[in-house]
Amino acid sequence: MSINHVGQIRALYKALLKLHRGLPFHLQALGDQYVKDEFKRHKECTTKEADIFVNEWTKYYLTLAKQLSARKKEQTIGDNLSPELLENFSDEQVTQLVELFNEATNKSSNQDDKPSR
Amino acid sequence: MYTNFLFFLNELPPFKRILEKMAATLLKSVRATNCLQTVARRIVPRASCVSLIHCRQENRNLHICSRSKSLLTPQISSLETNRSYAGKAEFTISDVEQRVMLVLQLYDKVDPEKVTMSSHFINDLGLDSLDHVEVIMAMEDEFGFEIPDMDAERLMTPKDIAQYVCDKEDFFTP
Repeated sequence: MSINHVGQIRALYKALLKLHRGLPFHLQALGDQYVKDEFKRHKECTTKEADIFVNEWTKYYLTLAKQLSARKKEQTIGDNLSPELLENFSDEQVTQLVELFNEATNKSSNQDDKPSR
Repeated sequence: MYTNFLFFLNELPPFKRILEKMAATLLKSVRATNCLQTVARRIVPRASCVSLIHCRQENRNLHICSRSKSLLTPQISSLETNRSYAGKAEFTISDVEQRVMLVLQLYDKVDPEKVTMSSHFINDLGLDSLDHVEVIMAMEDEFGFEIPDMDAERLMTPKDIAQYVCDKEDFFTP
């Protein structure tokens, strides 16, 4: 079971990094770094957390894969946070998010299409 | 002359078409001459003569063509002897080992001084299984083919990778 689990994580990790090759260059670097850090950070987590972790990343993979493979003129990458998800955020997190939004929209208009997670 | 002419007729369909057209125009001119019978006697033979001369000229041109073709053929064959075909470059096993080492030395998490052909990625170089995935992906990029997860898990030293690549690509010379 444990070996199988490691194999699964490795496959997911590799699939994510491969998928990111389809992203625009600056987003690829950002996304790769985020994936690497996040996987490293969760190396020592419990099984329950690991399940959520794998689930969420798989969802991310499926969403991004669908968006990248869509044949449209203007490629849309990322998704908006759902209201239920925003409910879970603490006030501090929400203010942080607003700050990030302001910072991102002030600098340039194309920076706010960061990969959602 | 006439047999030569026929020969060309059979050989060259476009030429045949030209002749057919000529015959058609001739016929037309014959019809036209019905009303000008007195002139016809002189013109018809002359017209056919002109068309014949024309044909001869065309014949000559074709001859030149065929001659130049015969001049060209030996040149083409001499080219063929020098022709080389695109294909996979042949590497020796030591080439592959060098490339593997180069990739590892460029990888930021590996200490370039510590890495040897037989150092274990996880035990000796202090990588974790995620870094190992990255190493394998770098090798895939370097050698241009995909390494399945099943195989990747077994490749724990640079030597293993070099061996695997050589097996896959059929490089046997050391």
